[in-house]
Amino acid sequence: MAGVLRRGALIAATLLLAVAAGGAGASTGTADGLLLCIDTFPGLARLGCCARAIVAGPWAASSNPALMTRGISASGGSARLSSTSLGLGAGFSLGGDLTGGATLRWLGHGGLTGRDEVGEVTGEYSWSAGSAMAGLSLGLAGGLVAGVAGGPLWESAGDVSATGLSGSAGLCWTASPSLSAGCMVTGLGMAPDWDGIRKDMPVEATAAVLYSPPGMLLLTCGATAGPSTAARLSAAAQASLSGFSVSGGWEAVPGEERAGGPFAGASYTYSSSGTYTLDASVSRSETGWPVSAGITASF
Amino acid sequence: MSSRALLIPTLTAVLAAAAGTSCGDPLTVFFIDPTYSDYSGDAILVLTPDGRSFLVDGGEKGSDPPWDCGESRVLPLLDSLGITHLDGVVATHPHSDHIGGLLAVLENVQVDVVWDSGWPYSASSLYEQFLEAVEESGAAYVVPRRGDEIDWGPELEVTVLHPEDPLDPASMNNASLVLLVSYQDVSFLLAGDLETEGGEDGILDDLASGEIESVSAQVLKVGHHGSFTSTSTQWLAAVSPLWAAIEVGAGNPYGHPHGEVLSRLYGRDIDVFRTDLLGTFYISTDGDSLWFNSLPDEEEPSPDTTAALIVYPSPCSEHATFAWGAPGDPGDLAVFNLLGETVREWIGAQSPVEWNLALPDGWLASPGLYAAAVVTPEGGRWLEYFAVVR
Repeated sequence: MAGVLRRGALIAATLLLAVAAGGAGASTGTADGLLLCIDTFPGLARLGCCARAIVAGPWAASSNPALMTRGISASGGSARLSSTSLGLGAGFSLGGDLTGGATLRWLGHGGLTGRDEVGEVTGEYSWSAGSAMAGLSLGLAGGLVAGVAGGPLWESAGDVSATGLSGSAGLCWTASPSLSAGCMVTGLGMAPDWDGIRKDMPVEATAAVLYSPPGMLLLTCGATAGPSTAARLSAAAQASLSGFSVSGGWEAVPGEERAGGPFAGASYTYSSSGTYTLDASVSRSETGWPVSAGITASF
Repeated sequence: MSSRALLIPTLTAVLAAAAGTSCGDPLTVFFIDPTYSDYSGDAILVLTPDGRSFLVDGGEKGSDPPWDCGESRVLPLLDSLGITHLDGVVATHPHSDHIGGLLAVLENVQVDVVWDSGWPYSASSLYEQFLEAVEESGAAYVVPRRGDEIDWGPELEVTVLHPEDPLDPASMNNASLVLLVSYQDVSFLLAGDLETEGGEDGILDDLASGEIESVSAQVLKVGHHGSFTSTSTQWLAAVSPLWAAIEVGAGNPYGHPHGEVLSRLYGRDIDVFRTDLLGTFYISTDGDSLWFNSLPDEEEPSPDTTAALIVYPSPCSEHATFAWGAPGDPGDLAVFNLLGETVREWIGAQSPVEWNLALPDGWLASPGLYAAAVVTPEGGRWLEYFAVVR
């Protein structure tokens, strides 16, 4: 057992270092489709931005597709820049070691003041972005699971809109009942086409480990990096008792004083002819404290 | 401490400073903010170098919602300045957003003279109330016309540029009394709601014929709250102002000031000061130089308000302009994206800031939702959201 833990820790550390190193020299602000980098499901957000590489759920088609589980999840709340977020996810068994899943996510911001070239108010307009993803995961030997997902991506501002395609791929390795590691690449695909012009996709590699020793505690940490977004690190701890869980942690974004900060969340799980989980999360942003809440049913 | 009490030392200090930087006492012109709900209007207070006080219009008096610019803005300002007597009041024309606030002034402050357009046609009951209030106040009632000189003290020359008899019954705006107030080398042109057709054109014709000597002014009170029906290119060429003051309510339903007028002003490199953005402000002169300042806010600056920072065009596709306060106001400006990444930052910038959407590494900023945040040296902090498209 000790050997397995040491091997898992070594692999996880290697993944984290590789991801963090990959973030050096990122050209921030050059990628479109930033929705793909944001957690709209509180079951993920309450454990930090990198937990999406290692936390399983019906939402995983839009995070690490290797982690799709059977069930449905719905969430809503606020996100960065005072936008509104919605998320729907579903996972289902396809027989054997094959699992399918799909998600629909949306961010929007209405009431933006429209102005012309000289500052004259022309009315109000809204901005929104969304993605639909469908994925498959397959259990491999030795506790390894692989998954891929893809689907359309769209964005609009006022009366202008653009569409593209996004894809992701991920791996998860369960080293022991208490230790697992995951990695994924998100933001693959084709950026939204804005009047014939496409920008970069927000390609990011994320790696995370999750340690859940017998008892009440769960620990996770990870790193995310990509060529066109700032590298992010997060670490979280969760304590659980009788179906209640509270979690908290810190997200660090080196070189970006307006990003990162504390996050926290809570959940309650109830089992009766199925397992139902209520999740809530809160995090810090420059423009406030985004909060979201959701419900997940697992069958 | 009330906001009114706060004004007294501030204004006293500023006015003293203005006087102290010059050879003589200053001429100071307050442009009083008419903003309330969707109301707009004009209310201008002139303090002369020899200590006289004149009020040009008094802002709106409305019933839906009930509000009186005279009671809410003019009288408190007079109170703050310790003014209990006005040497004169000018009612440029009978519209309620100009004379409405004068009723409260006439009822509460001693007024020596009232100069009025003398609108001879049918008008509102408010105008009738105004005329009754003038009569009851005991003030002298004078109807001046083009070419008349008004006595505002020995240091000032005050010339009436408009109107002429007979007044056009179809345009109350063109009945506006237009005054050219000169102090040594500096002039203010107070244009009321004068429109181009039938107003500015007539003055320019008389200027061309030599009947009017000059309309040149360093400060132009833009006509009709910045409406496109006023402030023609020819008018601006003749007046040739350095600064333009626009009296306009922030929530006015007419879209004042109109973009066409702002374009004409910016096109001539004229600094524009607007009550809808600045609140009440004042311009002082010693007869040679000009100074601008705004009154302190009645409330503490509120973080994350979007009132004082604008981004245009919005959504933007090729460039964006960030404007806060008055032109030249300093501040640290940052633009950040949905991930909280700072994509562009200007430290020690001056309003307005033009951005061609280029990032420090030369790439163009991606489409998406952004926020612009500015922090001023005084601690003001404002935020505005906008979208970038292609």
